[in-house]
Amino acid sequence: MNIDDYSVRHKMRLKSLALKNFRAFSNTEQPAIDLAHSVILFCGKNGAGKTSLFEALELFLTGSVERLAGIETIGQVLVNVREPDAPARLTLEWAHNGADGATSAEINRNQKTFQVKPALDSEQINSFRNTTYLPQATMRRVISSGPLKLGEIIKILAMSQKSEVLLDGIAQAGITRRDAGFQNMTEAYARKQKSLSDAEVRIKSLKDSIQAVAVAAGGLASWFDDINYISMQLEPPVAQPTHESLETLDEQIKTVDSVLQSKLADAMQVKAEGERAKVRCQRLREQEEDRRASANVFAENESLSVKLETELKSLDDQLKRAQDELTDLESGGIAEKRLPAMLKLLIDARDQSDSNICPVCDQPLENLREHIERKLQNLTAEQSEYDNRLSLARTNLKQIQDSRRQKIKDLAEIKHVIQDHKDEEQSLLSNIKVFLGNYDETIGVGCSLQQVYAYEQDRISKAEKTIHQLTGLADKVSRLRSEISASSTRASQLMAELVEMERQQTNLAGILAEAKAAKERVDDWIEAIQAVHTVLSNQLEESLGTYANQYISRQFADLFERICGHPYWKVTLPQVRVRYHKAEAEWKAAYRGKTYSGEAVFSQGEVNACALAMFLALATAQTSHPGLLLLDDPIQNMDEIRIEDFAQVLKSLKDDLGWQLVIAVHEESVFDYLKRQLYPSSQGQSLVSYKLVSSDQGTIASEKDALVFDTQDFFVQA
Amino acid sequence: MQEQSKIESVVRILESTGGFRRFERASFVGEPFQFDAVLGSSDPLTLVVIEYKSNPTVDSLKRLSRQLESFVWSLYSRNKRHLVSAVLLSDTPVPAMSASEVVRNLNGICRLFIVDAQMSDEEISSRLLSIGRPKFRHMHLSKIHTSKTVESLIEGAPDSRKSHLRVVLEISEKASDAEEVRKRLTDEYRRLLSEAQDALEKPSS
Repeated sequence: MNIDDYSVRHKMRLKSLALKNFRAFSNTEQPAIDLAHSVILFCGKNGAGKTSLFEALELFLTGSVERLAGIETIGQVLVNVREPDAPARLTLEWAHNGADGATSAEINRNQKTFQVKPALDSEQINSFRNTTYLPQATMRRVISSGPLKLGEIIKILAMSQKSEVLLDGIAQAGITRRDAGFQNMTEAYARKQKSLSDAEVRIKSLKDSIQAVAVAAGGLASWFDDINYISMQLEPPVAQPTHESLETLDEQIKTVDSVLQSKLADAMQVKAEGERAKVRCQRLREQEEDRRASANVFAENESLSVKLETELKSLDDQLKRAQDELTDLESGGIAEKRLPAMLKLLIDARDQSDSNICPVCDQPLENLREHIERKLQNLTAEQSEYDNRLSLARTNLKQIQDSRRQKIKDLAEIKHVIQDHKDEEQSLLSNIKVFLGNYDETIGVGCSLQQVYAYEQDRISKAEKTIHQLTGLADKVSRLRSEISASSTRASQLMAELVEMERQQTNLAGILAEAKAAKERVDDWIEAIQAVHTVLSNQLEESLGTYANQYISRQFADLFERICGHPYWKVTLPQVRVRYHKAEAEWKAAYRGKTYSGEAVFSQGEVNACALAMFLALATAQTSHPGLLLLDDPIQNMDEIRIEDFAQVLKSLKDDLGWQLVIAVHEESVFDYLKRQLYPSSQGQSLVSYKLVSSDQGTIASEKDALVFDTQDFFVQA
Repeated sequence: MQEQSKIESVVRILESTGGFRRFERASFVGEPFQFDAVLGSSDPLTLVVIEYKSNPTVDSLKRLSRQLESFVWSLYSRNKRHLVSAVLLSDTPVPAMSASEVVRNLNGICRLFIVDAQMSDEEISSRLLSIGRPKFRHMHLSKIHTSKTVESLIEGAPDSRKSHLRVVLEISEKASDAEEVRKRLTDEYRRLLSEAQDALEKPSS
């Protein structure tokens, strides 16, 4: 079997590791450490870099160094303190599941974080520190730290990482029906259910109340009797209801009431018409009386008119005479007409002329002035007399004219009054005739106003009687309607409330149905999570039982016996269980069926042997183990015999499982012994050993010794 | 005859429990190194020699120790890489102090197992356990896988729960750690709870 075959058969096969200026390792150029062997042994004193080498491998295989997690000055820690300014350089070559791979990293002193892509898969990384890499005393701490840590490791082996994450996540979520939110929701749901129940009770109560109202309408029969009676009182009688129910009764009452109101309106109209006719008749009669009473006045007016006409005629004669006189005066005296001119001529002559001839009589005069003065005086007197006469005549004429106009006016007025009187009389007669004509059919042709008045009075009396009767019936109907209306109103109120309650109930039922579905979804969610949790827990418990009891426990006991070779103590793994999703595994020392705490009864060396046995039991139980063991100084507190036995176990891991072993020790005798014990024992196996030597520049891997399997030279044939 | 029978018994035990086979010859590197029986393992490295002493004394034990030491050194000097284990079969109990001293002297050279011939086969098997190889068995146990677990739950679940289980499966597939699972499960729970609360808080009138 060559190296490549080995790589294919086993999952992880380291090939080489180059370390420069990394932690304890020197910054000088040196060949990569050859790891392409079945067994790689390192020997170095304390501080030589054994752990650094393993941590470099851990870094490349898992992507981080667990021991250094959380250190902020990671660069300062990983770069060789002797050469702090130079970067640390690392390269690992490997073959994983047959595929070659290589990763390099460069880390500077000031670097605070860095990332390396891990070579192992996540499941292998998850168990790396428990089944692949055994740092000094780590497993010792694990088995001394109580059942939880060991249980956790077995749990990781027994279930996939996703299952573990899911189980832990469900447990951390702590979603149960005891959750306050769920409790609140359940209580709110119960309150809604109670509301619905209350609504149903209320609806029943309302229905009962409505029924009670209907029963209370026991007066229904009497109401029907009443309305029947009223119906019969009407002419013609209103049809009787066919069903004795509140609804039909109400309908009937409405009909009757309508007929009643109609008849009442008719009667009222008749009465009103009678009243109006009576008033009209009365007024006509009064007018007729008035006409009779004013007949004398009419006659007086007639005679006065005649008298006025006579007087007017007399005045017309006087006027003619006065006009003639005035005409005579105005047209008769030329002298009078000439007087003013003569008077002016004389006045001018007196004032201006110096002649002695009279300008009027052309006679010479001695004393013209006096002559003219006399003439002038005469003329003035004549003129004055004439003017008086004319004025008198005019005044007289005017008086006659005024008197005449007054008479004409008086006469016209009298005539107008006479005409009005005649018109009124004519109109009254006409109105009476028309008015009486209305009663030709009822009373008879040629009836009088007295007859009409009596007729209307009778009609009014009858109408009033009808109105009285109908009003009484209407009051009755009104009372009935009030009673029925009150019942109907109450029934309607209850019905409205019932409808509202039923609407609320329907709404509430809808809400409750929706809420129930939502609540069931929450419930199902909790159920689903708990089911997953329960099944995973059960599977985990079962799986733990299988892993722990059927394999790890036996392997642990077997390896302990091989490594420790104790004469009477055995080790067991009696307590493997799951509590609150946490796996617990407790190992014990057993003697004759009784178990004891191993920590208490074993020596330090024996406890260390237990830790190694447990580590190897866990490693060989891991299904996805990478087939690689990194053992950093595993032989501590162990005597030579235990080392021999442990070496025998390692040999089996190499030979039977084909695992690659990387082991570092600090004692050269052990180093040499392991070289001999783990010598290649079959074709394809090889062993390489290095000594890690410290110098001023740092550690160098030197004294490489590579051994291969060779039957011809190294073994005696059977 | 009794001696041979006891040797054969031990040989048989080693052959049956440790996967050894007896060599035809009893000597490898010269006559001085002859043993009552010599067995080889499945690998060429491991040799087991069996020597019978009816009544071992301190002297006889020392002689045997020297013989074994010489045998190993002879092999080593001939550049042979064998790893030697020796079984001393005795009829009488070996003094504890002497046995311990001899074993310690041979440490790193040869592993010595002292077997009382009076022991039962079972006791002898137990005593010689570490000569043989541990029986490492590759585990073929199936690990718990969420997908298988939840899918089997989905198959048997009522319809109303199937979708929830699918959500759980999806969360499990996507989440990187337990905290994320917790958060996603809680978020979904709060969402469903909120739906129920909203439905309950709708006004009924």
